[in-house]
Amino acid sequence: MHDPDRHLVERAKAGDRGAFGKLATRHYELVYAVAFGVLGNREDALDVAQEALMKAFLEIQKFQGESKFRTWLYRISVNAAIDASRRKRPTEPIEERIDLRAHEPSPREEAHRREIRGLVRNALDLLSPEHRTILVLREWHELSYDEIAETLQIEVGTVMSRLFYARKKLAEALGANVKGEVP
Amino acid sequence: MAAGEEEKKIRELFKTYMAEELKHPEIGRRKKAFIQEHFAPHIPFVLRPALLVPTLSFIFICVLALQLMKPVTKPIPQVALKETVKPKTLERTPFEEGDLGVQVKQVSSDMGSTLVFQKSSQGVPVIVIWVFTGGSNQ
Amino acid sequence: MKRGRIFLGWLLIGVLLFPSYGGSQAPALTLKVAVILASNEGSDFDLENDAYRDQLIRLFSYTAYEQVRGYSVVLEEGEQELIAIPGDYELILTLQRLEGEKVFLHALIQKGGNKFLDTELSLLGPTPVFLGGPPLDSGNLVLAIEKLY
Repeated sequence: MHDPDRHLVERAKAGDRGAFGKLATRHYELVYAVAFGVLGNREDALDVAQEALMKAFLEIQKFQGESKFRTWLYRISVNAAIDASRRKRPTEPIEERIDLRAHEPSPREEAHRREIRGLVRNALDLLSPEHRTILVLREWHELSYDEIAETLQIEVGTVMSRLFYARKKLAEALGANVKGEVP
Repeated sequence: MAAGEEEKKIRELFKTYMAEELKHPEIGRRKKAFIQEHFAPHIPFVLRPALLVPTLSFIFICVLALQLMKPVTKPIPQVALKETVKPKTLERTPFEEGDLGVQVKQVSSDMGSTLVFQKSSQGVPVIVIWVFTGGSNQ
Repeated sequence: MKRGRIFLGWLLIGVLLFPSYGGSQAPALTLKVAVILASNEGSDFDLENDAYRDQLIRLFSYTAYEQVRGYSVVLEEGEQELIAIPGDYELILTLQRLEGEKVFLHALIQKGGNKFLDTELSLLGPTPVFLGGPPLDSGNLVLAIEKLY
């Protein structure tokens, strides 16, 4: 099994903090995306992402290369996110800080984006953390069913049926937006 | 709307939602701060950029000068061809009387060729009897 | 007289408690038949029986499975049952004989009088056998036949 992170992992295990820093740089967004997909709240997701990476750093000696490093990191991230979701506060509306350096979207574009975010967020809130996890790993990270099964340590069939259920619930919640009735 | 279309739409909406979030500048800021705080490597004085950059520049110029003076005569190394990956084939395990929960005595079809195969599912042998017609989707 | 009545009374109780058989009862069997549409359109995974889910993934490479029919078929020895399945196919199950726990079954899938699949098999345990796959426009049918206890 070819693991592109193998050399950095070996160095990190030997005590090279900088090597783990490179791993963290490489995978930060991946970890954040898992956390945000499950939690739906930026502050919580940022906290959990850092928590997951610190945990990975502190437990790097436990990683024996039985899977790819990325898979192991996914697992830590998922567990951290699901634990946090069980103790988290209710979802807050997504607050936007206006970054004047960035391209200013037109009011229409911004309104449309907010609408999608709101719709998807509300729909995701209807799912359990486990179902949100499957959705983010499949639809965002584009992991295969086998990779998801390995990450979550469940059967491939369970992955497929949870995904089917999650998509069905989203479709029901998103309603007209999915059926293409909304222009 | 067909099932495939609906699924595609859900995926698009979800990806838009995630992409929008990941573009947020706060994430980049927090990432940089986190890594700087916890994982910035210790750099010995002699290797700090203030000293290292001029030293390296000098070395680079020397090497460049030497290279320009020397003709290129090294042959281009041959890269070994990688082995092609063998396609995975479905194992057809012969089964024996008395071994299995299902025993197949005879199989026939007027519409195509038949195949009987067994695969282990969670330690339990499962039998499939399949007919291949000319225009099968399998 | 009194003894006669007591005797008749016990006889009546005996008759009520122990039902009489007109002749010998033919052993019967219940089979479960699931008709599943397997296709590569989308990734629906809609089955009533979770146990089939993992088996189907290991056996086939389709991306979507939907259970379109489910039947419980009770057959006595020598009896036959015809089940209409999608695509104008028919599944005819004949219970040839029972030998203890072992079931000897004849399964015929046909369409318009043409034999799609004709097989004789015996089922011993609860493991299903998968037959297929009659082609439809949207995929192939997979029939899961299982002996119920």
